[in-house]
Amino acid sequence: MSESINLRDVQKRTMQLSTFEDGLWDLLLGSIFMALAIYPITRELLGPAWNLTLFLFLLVCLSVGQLVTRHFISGPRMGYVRPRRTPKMRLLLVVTAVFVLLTLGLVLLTFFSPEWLSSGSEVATPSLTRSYGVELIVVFIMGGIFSAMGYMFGVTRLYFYGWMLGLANLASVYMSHTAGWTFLLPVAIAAGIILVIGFMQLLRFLRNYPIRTQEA
Amino acid sequence: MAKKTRIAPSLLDLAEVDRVVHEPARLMILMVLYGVESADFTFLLNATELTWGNLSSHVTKLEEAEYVKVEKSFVGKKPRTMVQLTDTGRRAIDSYRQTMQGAMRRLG
Repeated sequence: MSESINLRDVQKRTMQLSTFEDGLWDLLLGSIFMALAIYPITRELLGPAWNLTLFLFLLVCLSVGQLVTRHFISGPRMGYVRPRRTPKMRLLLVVTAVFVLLTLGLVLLTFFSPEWLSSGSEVATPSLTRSYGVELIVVFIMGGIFSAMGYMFGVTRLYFYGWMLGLANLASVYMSHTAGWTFLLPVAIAAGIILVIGFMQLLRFLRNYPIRTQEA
Repeated sequence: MAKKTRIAPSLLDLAEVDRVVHEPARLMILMVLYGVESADFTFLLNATELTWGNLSSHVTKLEEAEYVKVEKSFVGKKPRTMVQLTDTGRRAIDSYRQTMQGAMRRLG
């Protein structure tokens, strides 16, 4: 053996194969951010309450859809793995979930800040939360979370996703302030790129991993 | 008086390596299982790139050594074989790694 066996690398590769190889995770992420990008448009059409309900319903549908697709398409090709639940892994899951919720909350807050945070009652009055400081925090939180995930799981594209989504959010707020755009075009473009990568990854997965039979 | 051996002391550890673990294909299977709770045969096939027959024979050997536990079940009408590393298997890998690292250090 010319190289030393690195157990950490084997674990990373196992995680890559079981979670990121089929592209479904990318498709879910891209779909969620695409839904966020069109959120302001549907908000004008449906009103805040119905729009939020629709968004949450869409989130549930996408998550269930991903699980079903994984069960029927990826599972028979890649196989099934039960991840090991070590205390470190559990802590990591909790921290990631908290940061993801915090980021989503900050993104929603920067675009759709409630009236009680505004300095005046007029609609045109900029909200206290609509400062670029908040968006910069979002950039670093998203970049940080995705980079940490990319490092842990050895998936390079996650670094790119994090910083791209964070900067797209910043650009969307800038466009909203300066040009008055309601459609979050930079976020939509970033989500579109992730969706394209996800589809390509899925096609590559379907080609490279045929359904195995015992005789194969 | 201790018996004098012809083998160099720095190589003694290598002579004591667990041969069940040392075989490359079995080592690959054990390393994959080390990082997960359990994995099915299809996943092990993809992760190790062994053939079905090879994988099956190596898993049987590991099962005989009580390093892995094999559970067969049916999901719908399809059979699923899950393989899990036992505590004995985990200890065997740890011990193997220590032995090999020590031996490699001494070999320079």
